[in-house]
Amino acid sequence: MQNPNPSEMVGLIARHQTRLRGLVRCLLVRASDVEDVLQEVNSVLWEKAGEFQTGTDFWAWSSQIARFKALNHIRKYSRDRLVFDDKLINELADLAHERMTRIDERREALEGCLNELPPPQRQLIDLRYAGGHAIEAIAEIIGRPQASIRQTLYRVRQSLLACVESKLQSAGGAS
Amino acid sequence: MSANIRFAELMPKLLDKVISDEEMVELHSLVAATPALRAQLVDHLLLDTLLEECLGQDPLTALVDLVGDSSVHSNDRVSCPQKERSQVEPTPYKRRRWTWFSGSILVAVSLLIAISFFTVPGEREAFANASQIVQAAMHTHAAPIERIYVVEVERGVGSQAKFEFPRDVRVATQGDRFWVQMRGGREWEWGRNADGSIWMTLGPRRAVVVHPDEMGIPLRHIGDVYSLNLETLLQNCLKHCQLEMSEGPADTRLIVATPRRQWSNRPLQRATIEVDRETKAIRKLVIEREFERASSVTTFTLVDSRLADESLYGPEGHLSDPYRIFSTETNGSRRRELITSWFGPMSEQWMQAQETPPTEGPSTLGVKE
Repeated sequence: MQNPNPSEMVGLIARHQTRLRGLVRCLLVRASDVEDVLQEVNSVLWEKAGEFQTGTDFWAWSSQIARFKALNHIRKYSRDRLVFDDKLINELADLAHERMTRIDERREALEGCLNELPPPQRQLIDLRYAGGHAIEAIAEIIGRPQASIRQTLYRVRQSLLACVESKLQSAGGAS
Repeated sequence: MSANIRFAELMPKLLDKVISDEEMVELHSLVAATPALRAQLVDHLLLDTLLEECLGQDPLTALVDLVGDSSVHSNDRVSCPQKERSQVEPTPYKRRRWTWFSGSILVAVSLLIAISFFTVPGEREAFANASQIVQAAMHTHAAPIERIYVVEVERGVGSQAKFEFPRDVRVATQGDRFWVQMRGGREWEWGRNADGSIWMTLGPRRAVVVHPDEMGIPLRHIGDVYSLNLETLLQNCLKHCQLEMSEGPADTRLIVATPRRQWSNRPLQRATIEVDRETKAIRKLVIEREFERASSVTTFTLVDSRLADESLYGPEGHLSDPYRIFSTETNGSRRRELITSWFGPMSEQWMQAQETPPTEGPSTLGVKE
C-alpha cells in the first residue's frame, strides 16, 4: 500500500467536496459555519494525507474526519447557539451518509430537473441561488409578499426533490 | 396543526436562514419524533447544498487556497453541468502562486524604491528610460496575444457607491480592447464598444447594450473602474505624465506615472506599471483614480496569456444559440427591466429612468455563424 502523492491527494479531496460539504451541512443543520468547518476538514485531510493508503476507501476515511470535526464544532458552540442533540445529529449523519452514495447521480438528475422547471419557477431558483438574493430582495423584484415567495420556493424545492428521486429510481433503484 | 404542516412552515425558514431559536427547538422536536421528517430534512439540506454548488459561487475556492501550491489539474475540479465555466480560467495554482508572490514582493518593492531614490542618475535620463519601457510595453501589447488580468478594487474612504464589487473579476485584453468576466454571486460578462456603450450578458441567451447617455452613475462607475484600454492608457502616460522608473521585483521594471494634467473625465491620480524585463508585458498595473463621489484603486495582475478569440470581444461570443441582444434600438425601459430582473435591486440605477424612443424591432435576434 502506498500513500497518495500531493497531486493525487488534491484530486481526491476535490472529488469529494460535494459529499463532504453535504455531510457537514446535514450535521450543522444551519447553513452558517459550513464553509469554516469544511475548510478545517480539508486542512486535516491534507495534513493527514500520509495516513491514507491509496486504493482504500477515501470517502469512508474523509467522512469520519468530517463527522468528527463537525461534532467538535457543534459542541464548541452549543452554549452560544441552539443546536440539535447528539443522538439526532448522529441519525441525520447516517441518513446523509447513505444519500451520498449516489451523489453524482443526484447531481446529474438535478441538472435534468432544473431544465424541466417551468420558466417562472426556474427564475425563482435562479434569483435565490445564482443571484444569491435573500427572500426580501426576491419579493421586491417579483412584487409578491415574502411569505408567498418563501412557500413557493419551498414547493419548487419539493418538486425538484420528487423529480430527482423519480430519475434515480428509473435509473436503477431508489437511493 | 399536524407535524407535516408545521414542518413545511419551518423548513423554508431554516433554508432561508431566518429561523429563530424557538422555531429550531420546535423543528428539533418534530424531526426527533418522526423518522420521515428526518429524511425530509436531510433531503432538503442536501438539495440546498447541491443548488448552491451548481448555481451559486465557486465551491472550490477554499480548497484551492488550501492546496494552492500543488499542481491541481483542472479535471480534478468538481464539475457541475449547470454552471457555465468561462474560458478565462487560469489554473488555480497560478492564482495562488501569484498571491503568495505579490505578498512577498511588497517588501522588495519598498526596498528597491528606497534604493532607487539614491541611485537614479537624473530626472531627464530616468524619464527617457521610463518612456522607452512604456513604448516597449505598448509594442508588446499590440501583438495578437490576449492577456488575462485578475482585478482587485479598493474603494476609497467616503465612497458612496452601492455596488458590491464581485469577488472574482478578470479582464481579457488585447491592444486597446477588453472584455470582463464577473464572478462571485451573479455571473456575467461585459465589454465596451467603440462608441462607449457597454454590453453585458444576462445569462447564456440574452445580452443588453447600454449607450453612455443612458447609463446611470453605478454602471458608469463599474465601467470606469474595470475598463482596461491599455493602448490609450499607455499613450496618455507618455503624453501627459511624469514618469519615474525603478527596479521592480522579480525581473521587472517599475514605472510610476503621475499626470501633469488631466485628459479625460476619468481622472487618473497615478498609475504604477510593472513591466517584465524580458517580454515587456505588463505584469501588474495599479490605477488610482479620484471620481466626483468616490476614489478607487484598481490592481490588474497578469495571470495568463493566450491567442485571442475575437468573438469574445462582443456579446455574441458569450451567448448560446438561440440568443437575443437587446441593443439601443430596444425600448430603454425594457432593457432596464431586463437588467433589474437579472441583477436584482442593486442594478435599478444602472440605467437612467428616462425613456429612449421605442422602436419596432424588439432586439437583435442572433444566431452565431
